[in-house]
Amino acid sequence: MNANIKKNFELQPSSDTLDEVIVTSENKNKSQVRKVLTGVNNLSAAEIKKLPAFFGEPDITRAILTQPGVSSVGEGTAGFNIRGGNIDQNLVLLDEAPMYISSHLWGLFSVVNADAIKGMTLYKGGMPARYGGRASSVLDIRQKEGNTKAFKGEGGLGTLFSRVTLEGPIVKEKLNFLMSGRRSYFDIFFPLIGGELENTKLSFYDLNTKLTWNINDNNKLYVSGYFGADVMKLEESPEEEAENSDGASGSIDFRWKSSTATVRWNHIFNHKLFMNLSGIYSNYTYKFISKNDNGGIIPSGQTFEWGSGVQNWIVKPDFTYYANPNTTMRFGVNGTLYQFNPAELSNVVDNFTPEDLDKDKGLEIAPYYEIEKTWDKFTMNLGLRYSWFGNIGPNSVATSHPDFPSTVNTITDIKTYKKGEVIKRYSGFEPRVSLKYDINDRKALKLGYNRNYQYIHLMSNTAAALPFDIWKPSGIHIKPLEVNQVSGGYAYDTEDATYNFSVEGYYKTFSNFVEYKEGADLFINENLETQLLPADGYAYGLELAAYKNKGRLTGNFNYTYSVSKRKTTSKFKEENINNGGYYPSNYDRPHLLNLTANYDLKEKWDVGLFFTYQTGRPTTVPTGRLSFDGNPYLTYSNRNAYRIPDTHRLDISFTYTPEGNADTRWQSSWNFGLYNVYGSPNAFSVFSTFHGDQLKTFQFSVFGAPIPFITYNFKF
Amino acid sequence: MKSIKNTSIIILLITLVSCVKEVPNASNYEPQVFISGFLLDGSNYVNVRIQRTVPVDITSSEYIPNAQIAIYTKNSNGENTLLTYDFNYFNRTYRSNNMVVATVGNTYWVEIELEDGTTYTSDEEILKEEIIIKDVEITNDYNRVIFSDPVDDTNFYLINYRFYKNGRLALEVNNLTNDVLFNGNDNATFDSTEFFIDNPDEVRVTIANLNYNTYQFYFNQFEQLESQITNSGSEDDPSQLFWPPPANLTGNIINTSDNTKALGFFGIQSSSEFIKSF
Repeated sequence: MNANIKKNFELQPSSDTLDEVIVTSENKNKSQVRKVLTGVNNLSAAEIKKLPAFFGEPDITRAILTQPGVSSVGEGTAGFNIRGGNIDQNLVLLDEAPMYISSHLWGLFSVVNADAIKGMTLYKGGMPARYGGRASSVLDIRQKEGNTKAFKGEGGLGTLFSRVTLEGPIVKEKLNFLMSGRRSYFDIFFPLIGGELENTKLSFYDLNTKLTWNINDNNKLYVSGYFGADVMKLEESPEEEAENSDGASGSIDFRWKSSTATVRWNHIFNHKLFMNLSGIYSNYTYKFISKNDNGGIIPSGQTFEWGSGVQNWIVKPDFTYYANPNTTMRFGVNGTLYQFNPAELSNVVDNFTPEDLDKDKGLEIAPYYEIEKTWDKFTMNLGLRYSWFGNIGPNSVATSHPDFPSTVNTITDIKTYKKGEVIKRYSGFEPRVSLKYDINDRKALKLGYNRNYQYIHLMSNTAAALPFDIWKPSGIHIKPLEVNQVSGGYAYDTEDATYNFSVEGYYKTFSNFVEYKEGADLFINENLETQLLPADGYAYGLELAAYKNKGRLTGNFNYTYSVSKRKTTSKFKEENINNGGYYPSNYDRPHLLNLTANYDLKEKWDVGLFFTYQTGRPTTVPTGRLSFDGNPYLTYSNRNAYRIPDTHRLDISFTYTPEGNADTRWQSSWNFGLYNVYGSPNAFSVFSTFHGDQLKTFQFSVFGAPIPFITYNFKF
Repeated sequence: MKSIKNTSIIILLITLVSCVKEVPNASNYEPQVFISGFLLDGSNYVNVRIQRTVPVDITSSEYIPNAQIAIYTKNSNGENTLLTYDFNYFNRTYRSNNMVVATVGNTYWVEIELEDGTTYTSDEEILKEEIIIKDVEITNDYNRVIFSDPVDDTNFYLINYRFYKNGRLALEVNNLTNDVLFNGNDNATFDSTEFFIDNPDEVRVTIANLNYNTYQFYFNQFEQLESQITNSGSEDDPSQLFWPPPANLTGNIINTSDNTKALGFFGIQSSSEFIKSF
């Protein structure tokens, strides 16, 4: 070769089995030997679709939960927890745009359609310096770019919703598009059920789009977007309306939506220097409209609207410089403008004072530099990120008396800040170090250290996060969260790469967690800081993983042992939880075991299995009772001093793929199976209530029985 | 009435396959002390109750005698005065032997020493002004109280409705609210929409103007009462998916022997009443 040559190859991910041609390769897809970073997991769309799925619908959040070191507070809840971190410590990026809600239907389904994505990478240990803003992990999801040569489509008809994806060239090999949408339809059956459900609307939909323009050999432009929404509307039935003396009807209309837009310009300066310049917008809003009903929100039945949300505007130029085959450098800067709208109340009846809480604004600027260099057996990835954050006006900030615990009664002053004025600024260096030593080409030792600062915080005091939890930026009363993580591991591949093994350990410290006072009232609270407590914590764990990549049987097994604890650090001892001692986090589940297997039964049949076993999550239980005002009340144990029972579940799916039609290119498959095969009544919570004078204790299971599913999938 | 929580139940029970089963209580008994009492504006006797919690399967209560109780005040000049330590224990209650005069704008608190030497104190709380109630409207859809909410003050209210029929108390309803939605409104309204009675002869509405930590006690009490009712009734959210961690009935009491938060409250509160006959 005597010149630089550029060739474009287009690869389509597929899980189809090719019998006619036997492809042999050194499949090291799951090998951790090559990666210099610790704690990185890749999942392709094809792999996600091979997993037995809840209601037969491939789901990226559930796929993430099959990976080592990833847990959640329970089945059917929103988000995921990585190595002892809260769900708000995960940066979920869809084509570089941050997503502020990860689930439809309060946590049942991921907001991202698996048909629209190319793949995703989860960084839970070593995190490259180009990522920042969240303390525990990055889930980088990339959408497909659309087929450049031919019009293609795929989709599925499922039990709960259907989906369709179309892609193809607008101008062949120049301009191509992707469009992928889903819509649920189970609420169309509600009128048939009648009763309270008759007038209930419960649905979600989402749309992924992408346009790719190959301007020329050195320039490419990507425009991608996402829009998703959930709708819930409850109206009083005619019978309930008739019960009202004035015939007035009551209703609750609750909806939330998420949207993102990314414009990325990819420019090649020369064969060594590349640039990606991205402009990103992300928006999450929710609205609650209550008519003649208090909706459980305010203790007064009035008609009102309540809205809240978060917006981001991001600009990030990223450069990659290939100095030589063994040295790659990346550098750039991320600039993010945040706007948080904690509450807008408006209404409609007399004597109701509209209340808009001040919007919070923040600006984060983070330049970074990273270098990855390889010597004979030694590889290092060094990075340094410097993040600056300013909480900016206009806003009003309360000051409390320093000698007393902060309550609305101890506020001594309220200071008003002008538009653009910096209320409080924070900054810090975030070093990222990853080292790898290759014992040979199949064995490697790794070591890493990360520091991350997080300047935005999800205010959530419930076991499972809610769509209407609000975000707050760091400011005078909330310090940035600082997480330091040390991790190390060993990776091993068998000679023919059929099996990949890895073991990784980590230790993390957390400073300036946001915790909540006992009985905290977070709803439309102008002085939210009076409900918060500062907290520190630590987490450590060991993750073992084994993958089998070849043969009719493929799959993986992983086991995680982990500990996640925290303590509140208020200088007023009496308000600290558990008197200031360490206690387990809600998602501290020491033993976590996952087994995934796919077996190629015969020509047209595949079977998939997934088994999981997890220690029960911590909980707070009654330890005594008293009498007040004629009613019995409970007193409770220390926070999270007990645990609910351990959980386990087996899912199975079968895929039947009939012969495709060569003339129409139409290919289809049937996917059916059982979620929770043996109906394990896994405890989500254990709770106690009075029945008369007697206290009874109950166990609640979200999925207490097997759930059959069937989905028809197609592509052309 | 529907609620967001009920919405979640529809999702959980209709969309999913959930189940609830009774299991044995596996927790251990941890005894604690619970203190309750309040000081009203004007001239009144002060009542205080002190009890020790019992195991969850015991239905009787255990009250603690032989405690020493003292009420203190601080005037606007910052001078502390012992108001009374003369209490008589009778019928599970400590009652001051003399009436105590409480003045709006002054600060009050209680100090308690048990027989075993453990000491407790309440937060120093200001006695806030009485709320002027202007009118009460009773319909089949709501019970409304119209009142003047003080300007430039964050207020917390315990609103009590007592309905009389044929000369007897037929229904009593308590509601708790802050003034976020009507701060400073001279004709603020609060609607109670949960419980009703047909054709009452008379309704008496009381608004107690609370301090924050006493409000917090009632907030925790109401939350626990609500969770007990909803969880044992038909409109239950047994998942507790969307409930915060259960809160103990703490308010403004501190155990000064070990400097930890203790159960209970000693509220310093002004109270105004409005009576309407039909």
